[in-house]
Amino acid sequence: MQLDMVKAIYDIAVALLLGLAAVGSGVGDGMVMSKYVEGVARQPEARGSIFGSALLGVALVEAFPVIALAFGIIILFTKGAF
Amino acid sequence: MPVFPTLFPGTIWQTNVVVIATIFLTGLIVFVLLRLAVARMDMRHPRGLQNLVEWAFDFSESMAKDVMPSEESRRFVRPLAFIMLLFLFVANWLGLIMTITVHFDPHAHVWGLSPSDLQSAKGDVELFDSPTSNMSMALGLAILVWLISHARGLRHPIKWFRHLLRHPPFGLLEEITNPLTHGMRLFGNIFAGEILLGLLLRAPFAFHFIPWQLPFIIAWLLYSGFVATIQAYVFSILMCLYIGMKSFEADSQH
Repeated sequence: MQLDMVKAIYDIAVALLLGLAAVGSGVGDGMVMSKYVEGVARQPEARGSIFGSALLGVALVEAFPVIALAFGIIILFTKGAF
Repeated sequence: MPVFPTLFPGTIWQTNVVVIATIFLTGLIVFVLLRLAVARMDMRHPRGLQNLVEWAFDFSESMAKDVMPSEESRRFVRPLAFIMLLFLFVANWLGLIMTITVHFDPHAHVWGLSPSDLQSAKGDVELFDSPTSNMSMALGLAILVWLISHARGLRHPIKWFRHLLRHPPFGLLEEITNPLTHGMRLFGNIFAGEILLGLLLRAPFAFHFIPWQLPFIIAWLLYSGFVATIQAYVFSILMCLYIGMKSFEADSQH
């Protein structure tokens, strides 16, 4: 019973970790992409050159949430009940 | 959680054989590719593979030119940026093309693994995987970049020391967080993609015969391929940025 409770609490911890990481990722990606769309709306011929910076921005913003995802998966499969 | 066959198990020199073998395989693929590209090189009528490799080289050169301060550091980093881009591109794609897993009984003693390892992985041993889906390998690359940048900065010790202490807490903190996030970003993206792909492939069918997970697998494979390319590009451009931040040549503008 104690061991099941510990595993269940690890599961809840992983769920909290992934949920908050998704919030950060969503807000950051939304800001980068909205600025990209605004820039393209102002100057449609700059589409190709700004797209590279937009993708770079997305990869940099998503760095920490994806690290949290990797740690969440590791904890889920080694400590939590599955 | 995958486990890998190891050499010298239980000691401090325990090495993961699969990661080392796939690193060599990736190097071999890049070497063969580049050799094929220059085999029948034609300066006036380039075609096929030579065009592709020339485009990749121009791409890496323009990528390095944007972020590096001086001409001499650009000349230094030019081959490193090109090879790092190609190497990471091939290495990230290896795990999407093929993964080989072997199943053992969880009480076996094979290949340098102990029964507790096998039990934590439910008996599945990975034989072929992306090398970058391993935390040690990704962090090893990040530490290599850190060492290169400091080795170049130490040629001008006074400027290096003053650069290190420019804003007291943040200069030293950046020395720790920059390599850490540099490596963990690469590791997290490739590792999470691979684990989710393995989960999708192993999910049971609905009503025992409807393969509901097929469109998800195709969508996730495409997205993972996209992420693999982007992460190779981001690693290379950040490597150029970090090496450029610590190079204090005469004609550099920071």
